[in-house]
Amino acid sequence: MTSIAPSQSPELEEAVAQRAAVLFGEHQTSLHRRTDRLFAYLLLGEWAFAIVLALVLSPHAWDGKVRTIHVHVPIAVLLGGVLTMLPVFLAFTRPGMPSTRYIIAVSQMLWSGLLIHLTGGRIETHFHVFGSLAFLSFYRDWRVLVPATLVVVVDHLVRQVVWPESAYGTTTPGAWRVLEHGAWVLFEDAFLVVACLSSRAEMRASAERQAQVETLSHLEEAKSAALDSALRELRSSQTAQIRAERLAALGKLAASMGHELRNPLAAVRNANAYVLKRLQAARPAPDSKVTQFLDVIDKEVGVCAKIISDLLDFAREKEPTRAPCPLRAVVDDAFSVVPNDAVVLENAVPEDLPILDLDRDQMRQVFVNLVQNAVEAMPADRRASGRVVVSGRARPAGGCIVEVRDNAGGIPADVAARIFEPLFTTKAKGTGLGLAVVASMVERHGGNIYLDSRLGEGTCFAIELPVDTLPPQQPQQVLEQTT
Amino acid sequence: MTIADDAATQARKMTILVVDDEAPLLLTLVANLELAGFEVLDAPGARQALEIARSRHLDLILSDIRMPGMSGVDLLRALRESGCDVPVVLMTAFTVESVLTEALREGVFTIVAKPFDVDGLVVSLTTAASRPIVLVVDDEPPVAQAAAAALAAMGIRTGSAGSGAEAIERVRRGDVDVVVVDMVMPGLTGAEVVEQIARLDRGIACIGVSGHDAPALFRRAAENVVSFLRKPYRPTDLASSIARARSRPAERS
Repeated sequence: MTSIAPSQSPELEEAVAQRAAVLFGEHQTSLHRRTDRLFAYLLLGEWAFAIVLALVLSPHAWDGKVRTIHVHVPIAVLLGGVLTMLPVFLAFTRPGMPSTRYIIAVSQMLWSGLLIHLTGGRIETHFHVFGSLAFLSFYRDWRVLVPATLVVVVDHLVRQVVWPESAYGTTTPGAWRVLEHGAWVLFEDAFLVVACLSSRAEMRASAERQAQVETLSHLEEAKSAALDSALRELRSSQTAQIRAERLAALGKLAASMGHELRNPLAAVRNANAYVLKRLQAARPAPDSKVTQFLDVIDKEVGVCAKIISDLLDFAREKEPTRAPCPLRAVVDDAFSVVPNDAVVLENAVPEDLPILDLDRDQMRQVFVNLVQNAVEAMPADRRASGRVVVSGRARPAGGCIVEVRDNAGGIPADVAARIFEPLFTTKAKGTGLGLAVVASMVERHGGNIYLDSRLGEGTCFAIELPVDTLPPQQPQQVLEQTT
Repeated sequence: MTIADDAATQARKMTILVVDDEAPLLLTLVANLELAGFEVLDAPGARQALEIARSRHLDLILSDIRMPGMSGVDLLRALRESGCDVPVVLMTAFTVESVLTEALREGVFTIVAKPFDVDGLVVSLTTAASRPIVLVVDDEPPVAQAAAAALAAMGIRTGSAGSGAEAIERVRRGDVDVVVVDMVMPGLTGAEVVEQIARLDRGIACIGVSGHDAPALFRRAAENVVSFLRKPYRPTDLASSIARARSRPAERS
């Protein structure tokens, strides 16, 4: 077997062989069907031809003084019809079936017989036999030639005996004529059989080659798809890595910047405090704007300090130091820190919320950031009725869920999808780190944070906190205790 | 008298040494502390600070941590090694955890983060200079004593009490600024103790500890307690909680 790719595994070769068999079968069937249809048209054509022939060639008979149509005409019409109808019917209803082509073969050879008869045994009409056999080899199926040859031989034999003029045009043909015709038929058969067999072998080889090409092409496609997806993965992991590196660099920058900025800020704050105190004690008292503006300096320094704290909290990623942490008190703590004038803050955390082991400072930071976010998101027209409610409930599986709910008008879906991303903000000012810090702290506690927002109404941040499943930190020096 | 009241009267008598390599910060800090009534000395670095500490009586040293050459923690260590037990408060802009832990082990009073509130700092400094103690309260005396001893080994001044009532009596004496209370005690529970202490003096920080899960007590005590700890705890964790509690006044802005 010629193989395009010599190095193939046995499973692959098996698959190729199977595919080749399928393809060969398909080609064969298609060939048989086409040839069936071809013969159907041929048979119909022969019938029409026979009728015309009979009308043209066969002279009118004279029955006494009456001219009638020669009997050949109705024979042509009726017998021809009988010979043609069944194979044509089969060719259109059961194309490709072996029975169809055997019946067609028989019918075609009988047509030879009929045409020979209608032409009165004219020798040239005998050529139709050889032509038909050649046409039958279009099937590439040597078995078709068997019934065909049998029909020819039997037909000649019978007519030689019963009605020699019909076959040979004379009443005394000679016994050997059958043999002579038979011999020529067999001669042609021999070559046709060889032709059919070698043609089939070619078809098989062609099917095999096609199957191999198909298989190779599938393999190539698969390789190419795998390569594509590997490239895509590589690109996305590269992007992720670049992002991570950028964030790490940001963290380092933030840390060093934070340290550098805090000293000058401390000096400014101290200086401001001193000046304010001296001025407040001065007589006459200075213009109220003076003290007012010094207050402004103090507040703005506070703002700077908060921005730096946010950056450093984000960069530092401190592991939580866990201790029992009643959340209601932490929320109260957070409320006291958030700058707020109009919005109502409600602590609806139940008294009996399970006490989990959490880092109190980090949880306070989480609530401060969430509540501040909600307060700052309150649009001016909603401020009068603005409410932020913090509530909570135990989870049946253990741990608890705490929710921070506001009526600030909701967050659009495209913003909500990115809202925990570091440095993502829709506010005119702000570092964009507040919620990233929240997400990071919640996650370091082993928890999750979810967002549910309805446009036109408000937003709810839900924090899931699990029961601490880690063993308590192993102390290096355990204080002795008897209980 | 509360800690805050003490601040006003005692400040006038106290000598503070401020150490920082950043000149503007040093200058403004000294000015504010003088305005608050302290007598203030200054040094631009740890070496100069050590010299001053050797030659003068000091009530308190306030130092930056990150300085070129000797750090604030090195200064603290050097002071303790030479037998000087002046209370030390450290300032930090941004310091690595390990350095903070080191400072706690050497017995720093507290660590305040820059930028801080000056008035709050004054409260913390006044408290520190008056050398208060940490009171450890546990109904099992060995436990209380062991905890107190562990803290003392780190240079923290401590006392112990065996019951809630004893604790409150001790607090009334006025030299306690942090109370470490076991939540589960017979008689007065830890929760009741912190409530009473809060009524006496809101400036006293309470830390709640418990070996058992006592959610009801935790909840009740929550608003009066700065932080909780689960037993068994590492001494440095307790020292860290104490230092954090002591820096609260300076960090309230």
